[in-house]
Amino acid sequence: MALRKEVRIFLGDEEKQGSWAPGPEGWAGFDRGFSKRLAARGWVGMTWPKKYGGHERTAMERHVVTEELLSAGAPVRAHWVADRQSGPVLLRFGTERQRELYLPRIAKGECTFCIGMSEAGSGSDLASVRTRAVPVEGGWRVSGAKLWTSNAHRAHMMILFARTASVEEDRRGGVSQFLVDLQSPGITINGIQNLAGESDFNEVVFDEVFIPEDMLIGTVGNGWNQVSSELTYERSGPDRWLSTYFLLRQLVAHTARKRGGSSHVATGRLVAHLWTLQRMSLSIAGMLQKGVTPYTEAALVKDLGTGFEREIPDIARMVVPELARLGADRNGVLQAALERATLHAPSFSIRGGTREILRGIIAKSMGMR
Amino acid sequence: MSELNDMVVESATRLFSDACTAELYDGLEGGDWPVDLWRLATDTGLTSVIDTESDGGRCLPLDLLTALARAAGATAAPIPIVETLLGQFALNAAGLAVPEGPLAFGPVLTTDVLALERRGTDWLLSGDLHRIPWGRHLHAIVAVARCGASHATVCIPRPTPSSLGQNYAGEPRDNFSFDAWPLVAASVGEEGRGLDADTLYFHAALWRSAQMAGAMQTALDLSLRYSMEREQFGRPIGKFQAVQQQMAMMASQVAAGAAAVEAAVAAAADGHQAGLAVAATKARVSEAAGHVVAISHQVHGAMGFTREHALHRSTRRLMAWRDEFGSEAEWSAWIGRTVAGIGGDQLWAFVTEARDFQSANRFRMERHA
Repeated sequence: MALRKEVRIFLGDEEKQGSWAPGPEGWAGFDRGFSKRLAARGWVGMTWPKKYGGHERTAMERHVVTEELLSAGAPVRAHWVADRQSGPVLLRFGTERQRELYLPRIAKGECTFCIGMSEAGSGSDLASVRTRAVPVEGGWRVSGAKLWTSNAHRAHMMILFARTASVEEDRRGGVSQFLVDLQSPGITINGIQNLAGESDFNEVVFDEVFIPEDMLIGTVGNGWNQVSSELTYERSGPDRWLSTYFLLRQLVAHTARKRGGSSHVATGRLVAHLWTLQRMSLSIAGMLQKGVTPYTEAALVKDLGTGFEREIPDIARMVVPELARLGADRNGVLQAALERATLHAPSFSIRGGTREILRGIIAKSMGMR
Repeated sequence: MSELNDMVVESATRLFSDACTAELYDGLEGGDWPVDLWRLATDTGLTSVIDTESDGGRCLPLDLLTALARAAGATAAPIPIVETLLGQFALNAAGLAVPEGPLAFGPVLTTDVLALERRGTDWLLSGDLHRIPWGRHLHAIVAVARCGASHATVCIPRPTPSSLGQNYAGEPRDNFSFDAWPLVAASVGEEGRGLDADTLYFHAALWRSAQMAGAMQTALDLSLRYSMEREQFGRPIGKFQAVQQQMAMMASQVAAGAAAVEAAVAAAADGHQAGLAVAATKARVSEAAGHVVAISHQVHGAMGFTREHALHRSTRRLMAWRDEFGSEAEWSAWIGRTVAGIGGDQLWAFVTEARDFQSANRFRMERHA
């Protein structure tokens, strides 16, 4: 497919110009300029209608571009969430005005979104959220706090999942989604360090924050359906099996230089898994293209995919046992890749829906629940 | 898959499911040949690789043949249907006449080598063939032999095993020894024409993978049904989260195996050498089979460990088949060696567009005579 080559050439040129280099951080990098240049090529908001700044390409074409960006480790964070899920949510449930206002800005790589779902007391049990939106003159007033909000400190907008009726009244029917400008008075964003010492996710506190009524997404009380659809976008992509690809790439480069025998079995097995996941992911893109929502399939591929991502550092330790003890000066890239993958691995099977929740979804699809 | 394929697979599945009784399996493992089942399969046209609708005696398309293999695996049909079809496929490719009755092909081990020598107008065949499926019941073995610097396909009529054996599922796996064994000219294909031994081996790995995908689906179906019927603590065991999580894991493995087979068949049907696709598929399916056997038995408890319960017909075949035509360790080693030759920087291109890497992707095994 020519599109793959186009993306590879673009990335190669970017690398040559020094704007970006593949590294252990991979696609977790945030670079507004990169996102804008990518958008200028028509690779952000690819599938959206042209009247909203999109390019009316297919879901398969978008999938090819995302795979190429993630496997290369391009810094996509500035537009990633908006392109992956916020834009599609607005396209599906938003008002005409919301689409006209935000989709073109996202498609230009100018507008960064974050996800306002989890709270301190609501992780896997998302329907139990307590952040409350109370109707007031001209809109809503929101109080509460969201937690684990990645990128909130760099984002312009959030799609907020909040309670509009009490849990007792209606657990799943009493929730709604809102577009929130993170500059609104009453919002405080507190960084939270993760175990790797990075400040990437946040607590977002809402203290009587006013949200104009035209910022409600969809209908009041339909938040649960909308958020389920949003989660499918969040779970279905190659970001669920390519998080540690940079390490696998370095590991293969290492075996190419060094040794044979048992290390070939270990790396070859990972490549067999990679090949299979890539094909499964492609078929999910095919389902999206046909207009099918791959709710169960996305859960299944995410469960397999995050297991694969998590396994790569363990296999690397088996193949190159001395690696974890070498000084950074002796084996820089491979060692840095292992360190990052090892420290981040615990998050893979939690973010975007825990392994246990995903397996519950799969069991449900078999009629067990 | 086309509607025609669906119909063929459906009728094959119904036919095998009805005919495969407990008595049939008992007799088979006592050494009987399932005369009636074979006749039924032959009368229905399931044991012929030739497309009767076509004029020139063309072979049926690969997606249909592998779908048949899948159906045979799903029903644990105790006849050499895959072996016969692939044997005919090899004869057809070599331009040789296809004899009536059950066939198998060889070598099935990469350590076996046959040598062919001309004597007057006839030929002499020498070498050993180990673990030939259904050997004692065959009307002929289709084998690829070395012939000078080239290869030739031979058809060995009415061979007599030198020793008898069986796999974990009680399927015959017999040894043959040929010492200047005479073959008439009509049984020997043109030098260099038809499949070489490696290509035959890759095909066999793909077809066996398709069979395994069917057997894994059946093990999953049986486990699901059992978990919803079997009651403990006053409710079906499938209502317990611990069991649901196990079932979800099994479903993911089955889905991964099926997706790999589907993608590999598509790659092989494309006409280019799909070495990576076949290698990754057999590696992935054989690994999945281990999980499927373990979890399906765990769900079935002691019931599934009995001779009486049907589960073992699928699981014992999976135990055996995952080591036939390359285990996950052997295929992983093949992939590991191959990608070490390609290098880390080209790994992604190789995984996504293997057809651009013909030399690395070819059907080649390391053979140790």
